Amino acid sequence: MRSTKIKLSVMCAVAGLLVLSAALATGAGATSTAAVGSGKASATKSVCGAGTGKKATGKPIKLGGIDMLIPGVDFTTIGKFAAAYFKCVNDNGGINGRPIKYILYNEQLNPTQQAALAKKLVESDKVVGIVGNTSFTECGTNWKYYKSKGFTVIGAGVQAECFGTPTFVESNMGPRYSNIGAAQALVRRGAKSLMVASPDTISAYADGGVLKVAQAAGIPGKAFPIKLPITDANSTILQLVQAAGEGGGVILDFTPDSAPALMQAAIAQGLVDKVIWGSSTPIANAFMAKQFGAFDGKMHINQEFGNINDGSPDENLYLAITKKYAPSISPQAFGQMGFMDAKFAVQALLSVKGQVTAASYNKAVRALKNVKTSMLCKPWYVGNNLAYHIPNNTDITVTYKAGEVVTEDKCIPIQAVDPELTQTRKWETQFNLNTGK
Amino acid sequence: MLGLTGSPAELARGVIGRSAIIVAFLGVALFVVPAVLGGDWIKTLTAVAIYAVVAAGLVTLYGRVGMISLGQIALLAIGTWTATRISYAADLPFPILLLVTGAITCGVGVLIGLPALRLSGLYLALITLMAAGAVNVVLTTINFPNGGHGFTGRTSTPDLSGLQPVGRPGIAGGDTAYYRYTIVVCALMFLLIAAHFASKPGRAWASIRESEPAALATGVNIVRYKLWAFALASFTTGVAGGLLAAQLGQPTAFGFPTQDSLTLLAAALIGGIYSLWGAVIAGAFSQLAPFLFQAQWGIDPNFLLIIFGVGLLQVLLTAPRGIVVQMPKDIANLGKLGAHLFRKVTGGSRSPE
Amino acid sequence: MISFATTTIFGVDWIFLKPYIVVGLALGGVYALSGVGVVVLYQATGVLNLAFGAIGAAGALISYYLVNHTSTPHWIAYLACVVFGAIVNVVYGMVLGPAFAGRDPLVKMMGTLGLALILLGVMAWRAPAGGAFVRVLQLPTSNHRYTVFGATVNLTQILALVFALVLTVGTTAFLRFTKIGTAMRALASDREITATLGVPVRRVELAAWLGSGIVCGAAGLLLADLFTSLDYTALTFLVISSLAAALIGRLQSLWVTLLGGLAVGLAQAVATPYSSISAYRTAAPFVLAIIALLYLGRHRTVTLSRTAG
Repeated sequence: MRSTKIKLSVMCAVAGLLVLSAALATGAGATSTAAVGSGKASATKSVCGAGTGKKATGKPIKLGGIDMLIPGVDFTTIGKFAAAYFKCVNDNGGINGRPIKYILYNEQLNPTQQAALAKKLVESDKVVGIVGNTSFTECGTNWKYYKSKGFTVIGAGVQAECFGTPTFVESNMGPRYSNIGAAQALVRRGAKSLMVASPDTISAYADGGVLKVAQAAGIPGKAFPIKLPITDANSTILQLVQAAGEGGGVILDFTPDSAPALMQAAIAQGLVDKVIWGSSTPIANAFMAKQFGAFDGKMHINQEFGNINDGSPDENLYLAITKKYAPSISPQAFGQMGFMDAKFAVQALLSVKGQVTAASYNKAVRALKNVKTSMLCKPWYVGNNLAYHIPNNTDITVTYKAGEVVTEDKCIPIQAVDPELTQTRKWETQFNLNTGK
Repeated sequence: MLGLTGSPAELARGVIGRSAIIVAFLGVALFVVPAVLGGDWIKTLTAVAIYAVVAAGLVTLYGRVGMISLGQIALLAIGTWTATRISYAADLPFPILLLVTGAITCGVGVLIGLPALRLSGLYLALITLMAAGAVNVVLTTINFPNGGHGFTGRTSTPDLSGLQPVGRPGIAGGDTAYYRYTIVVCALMFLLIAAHFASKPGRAWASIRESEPAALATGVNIVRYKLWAFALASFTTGVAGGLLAAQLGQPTAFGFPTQDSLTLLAAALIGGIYSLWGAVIAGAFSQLAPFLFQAQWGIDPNFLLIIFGVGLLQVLLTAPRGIVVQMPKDIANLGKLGAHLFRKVTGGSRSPE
Repeated sequence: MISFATTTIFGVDWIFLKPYIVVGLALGGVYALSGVGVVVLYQATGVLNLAFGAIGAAGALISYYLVNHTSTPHWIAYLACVVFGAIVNVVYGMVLGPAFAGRDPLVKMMGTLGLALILLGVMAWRAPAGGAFVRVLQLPTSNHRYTVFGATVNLTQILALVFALVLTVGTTAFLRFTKIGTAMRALASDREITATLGVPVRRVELAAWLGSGIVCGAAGLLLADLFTSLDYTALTFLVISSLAAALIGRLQSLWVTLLGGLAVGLAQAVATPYSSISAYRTAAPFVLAIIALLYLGRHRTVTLSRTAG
């Protein structure tokens, strides 16, 4: 009897908590009813798929994706936006009348789970392709498996394996090259040293390029692996600024989960004007710009994609898709990555002649080249069976200004301090991958 | 558990009965499951077996001796790290690799356990948690070996395509074959632990758990037996770590967060901390449940945390012996209730209750 | 070594080292506050509350929503955090406390782990982390800054330290000198016997859980501000590092817990400029706790275990 009472009380308490938390939930926005993504593609307008405006009703084509979702970092935004793009395509004739069915799984950094989900997608769910994968570790876990099945994955990467194996092709450039871009921006502005800080689990890969830039410029450089979550932001920021010295450069490589603590500490300690600040892409968004007006014009962020509000065709389509199909996803780089991943996948699907199978789709993916998108400085490509793919290697520098993100330097190639970049650029000219013709 | 009451015939039947269940379970695991379930299940169930062994260490330490270790995942990480480092450095046959890994992890576990033995109860639990926290910091700093030289075996310019992951045994390269290999090795670990329970160490541990002064009075060397328990739990966890290294191929520090030690203990308590079958259930909870939730049923994995918490409270308050004891009881009760209702329905009209 | 020519300590200039001492004391305030909060509850109810961080984080999350999504006056939103902490603690303590009463302290601790997991699951489910934004709950006191020794501290950090100090002094006095305090200590030691002595058990328990709940909520608010981003996972598992301070005080002395927390924060910050150990400095709480426990536990003890289950 007593135990029943206890069970009941426990259940009631839990139910009460859930009700309380439901009250905190933010509601979903209303969707608009305008026809999105329809019409004829032109130099000033982008459309979804064929742009017919008619719903696709044939047999679905299955695509799959796996995104990391851990308390604190949510990469499923990328997959969810890809799903929104696919919905737009489905409302515009689909792929020759066939709608796309997108199966998105999330993983919690458990390698067994990552491998199991990959197997499920390929062998049980029988998808023809994998699109939109983003994780701290999934590239490393699954690239050999995908290769053995003939799959080429279009995603957004963080890990070295995402940019160093034949299986993955990313719409972004990853922390290593983004940090190099930030380092170049600081060197252009006369930084006397280059200090770079990244999460310790990716630091060796993410920071190596910055050290090479420092060496080439003849200034001191040092990498600081930081343990997440950051509990002592004040010490960390002090250490970075002290190491940089007066007029030196400090590059932060963190997402909006961790960067605010460091930036807040810099403001509190009065260190904002002591060094020149740089960063990789993740903190380039309007929210951060509004929070950190103290860094206006002082934080030079390397941004892997174009500005969402620049009025170019793909960015406009991005905003339109957001409004109709993904109103709860605020405009951000993750959304852009999902947009591009889906766009490239659709392009590959549309180019398949004959039956759409795993073999034919992935072959079409590998054949992709000179894919124009106004979100990137240069056309995107896969380039067939290259040993690795780094198609996004030219981008812009932005900064905060009055609560917005504004462009400072346009379309500068990432410095070829890595042999992989030199080789990639050779391939680009040799195979005519992104010259736009 | 030992079932020491009853006539020799009853005892014999008890032992045969339990062995039959174990053999049947293994048979299903080894032969029926791979034939029926797909590759994704096989990978997940391999992890279930591995974490079941880790949970068995918890059963040994807490269920048998009364010591809580909140650092088992840290030991698992050490085992995985050791196996990875060794496999890059030397080309050992896989069983030898497992034994060496188990031995090294055993050494580390004893090293940590020795000074901690002076503490008891809550302090022992918390010091193991602190040790786990420290190990986690070291692990995320030095990361896992990836083909480099030196003690840490880590290079900042790894050869990605040519990288040899931790090699699986020659006879068990594929996922299904490796799954069977893992089941066999894990069953051996369980056998090792069960053998301890059934013999002198098991009796010494039981007396220590009941009352240390009484154990001392009967001449039990408490320090030696406590250390033995630590050594056993660390050895089996180390072997599990070796198995995990080959399952993952290229392990990373992300796989072993400190809080996993707490959630594994929660899973072990829910499964049943006094029984080795409870350890199997714990392994299923910690590895199979997320897969089921996510891939099979499409439920938000955060629900699992909530269920864990509620389950833990439930178990602690109403069923301290865990699911493994409670579920058969509940099913038996349900069966009795069903039989009673059936009788009422078919047994004619009695006076209504 | 310590050289006086240019005042370096083990190779780092004193000028560079000075600010870390200030930063370290501020960080120590964080550890001290959570540590003292945990020990206060343990002293009063015999329960080591692993949900300390999670309750505080959930309360801070509620305050965040009230501040950012409603037009509630800020001070009411902050009060809501404290009230939430009190409510959750009281509900848990009054409903489940008696059921756990005769059990091992380990089992009591595992019960609070269950609560922590439930809260974390609810928070992660209903308030998922965003990709482009982060929740920031900044208290107005953080805008007041003071420069000490080349480093800057803000009023919130000072408040955390002061709060920890007041809590230590107040609780020590309360537990020792007042009737309810003595009743609490008796209750934590043995509930059955205390009940037979005519102590109003339920009322005393209520007071203990209520008091510690208020501490929990207030600490949660301060910690959410000090960590800048409302990372509820980090805040939930901050309890593991705060346990270090509690363990240095052997879960008994509040003063030693306070000083231990300061020492841990100091050690972690001061280790930063020394490049050989800098990467490992987040292990400072754990290492210090282990040393303290081993040193303090160096006399052999023999235990009488409670009956299993």
